[in-house]
Amino acid sequence: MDYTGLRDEELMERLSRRDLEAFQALYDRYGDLVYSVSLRVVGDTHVAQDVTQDVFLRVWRRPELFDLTRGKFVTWLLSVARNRSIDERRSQGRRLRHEALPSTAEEEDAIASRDERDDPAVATVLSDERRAVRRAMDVLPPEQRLAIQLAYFGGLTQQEIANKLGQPLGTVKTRIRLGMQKMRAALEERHAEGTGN
Amino acid sequence: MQMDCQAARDDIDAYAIGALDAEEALALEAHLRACDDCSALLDRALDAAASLALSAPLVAGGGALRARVLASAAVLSGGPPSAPRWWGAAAAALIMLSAGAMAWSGYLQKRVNDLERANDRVQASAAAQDELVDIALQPDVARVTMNGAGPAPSASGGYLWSPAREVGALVASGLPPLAEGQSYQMWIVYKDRWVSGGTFTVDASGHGRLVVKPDDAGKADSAPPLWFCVTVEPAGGSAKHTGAMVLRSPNI
Repeated sequence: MDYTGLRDEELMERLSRRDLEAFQALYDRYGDLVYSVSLRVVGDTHVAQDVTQDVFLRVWRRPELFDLTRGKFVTWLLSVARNRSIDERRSQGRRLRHEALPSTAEEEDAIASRDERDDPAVATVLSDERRAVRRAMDVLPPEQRLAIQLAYFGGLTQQEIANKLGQPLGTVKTRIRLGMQKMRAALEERHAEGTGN
Repeated sequence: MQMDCQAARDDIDAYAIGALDAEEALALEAHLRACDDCSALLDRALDAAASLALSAPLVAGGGALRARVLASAAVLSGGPPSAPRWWGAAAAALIMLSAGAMAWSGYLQKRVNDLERANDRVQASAAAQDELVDIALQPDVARVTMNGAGPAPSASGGYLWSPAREVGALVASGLPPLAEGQSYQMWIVYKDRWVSGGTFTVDASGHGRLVVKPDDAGKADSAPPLWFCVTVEPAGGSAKHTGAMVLRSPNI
């Protein structure tokens, strides 16, 4: 049977019946994405590999944790990957090289430009969706983008970001709120165009 | 004091990307439980936040990681844990039938015996699965990918082992069916000798598994193994490798 044509939800349904080929198909579809998110958070290839393995084994052992009524599988999977990576980052503390965390808008710009350099071997994975997110991020002022990146990929609270950047807490809150509002509007506009609404 | 909608909406985006501290998050969650409008806004914020993951530079995890994840999943798979309960219900039903139909008693006794044997197999499988899980979750667990060789170029496998506990688990796939009187045998190769890790067979799909115990893994060796392989040997295994090599790991 060809699993490549099955939807994520169909593969997950097969996973609940312990279908190893369905698991393999899901890994082939999203393994690089999960690894990439984890690497972005932890900044260490070995730790990112361990996290990727852990995320997929959780899916394998507990497929019922995915609730179809609460959204798309890939959204859920990447949230699990991000949260698990943040946990690992916090638990490993200083042992990890935190080169993924920028501390200035210029450093963040350097990371943002590097974002365009995907590994060509895997660049087609969800390419439209990833391009849309990057465009939405690109329109943000660098300081808003930086605050969002530090929270999402760095696992920092607003207070920790304020301390790290030497900015007032209120300024950081405003940057995150405005940045997320703009990004959400850009993504929802694209979605509306895509669905013809 | 209860948070109002304006204050909640100021915090929703930060909450969605995990930027609130614990106290702020608790206050917002209390408000969300009582406010459908703000909860709907949170759903939108969570969607946008989840999209942020897609802004990470895409990097290939590589074939070794893929093999490791798939091998670990195979190691963790096993018989359904609910099987013993099924046996219990079936056995009870059979016992009730036997009381009303003595003529069936011999047949039923045989069925119960069969089910008991099946239950023993399930219990053994569950115990083996526990061993595999135990190995996979050891803090010092090491992993190596094994590639097809000789007559099985498309075979693949993975070996997990705990140096501290001197136990390991091999998972293989794509191995050709064995002729009668043959088995696959795993070898742990040290600098000066090959130590048998045990023998195994494969199912119709070419999948096979093996748990390597301390006595098999060369407990007396203080030096670490150099590499691992699987060869075709007479059923029951050989004292020394004699057959074709079908899986081999790189040097450790």
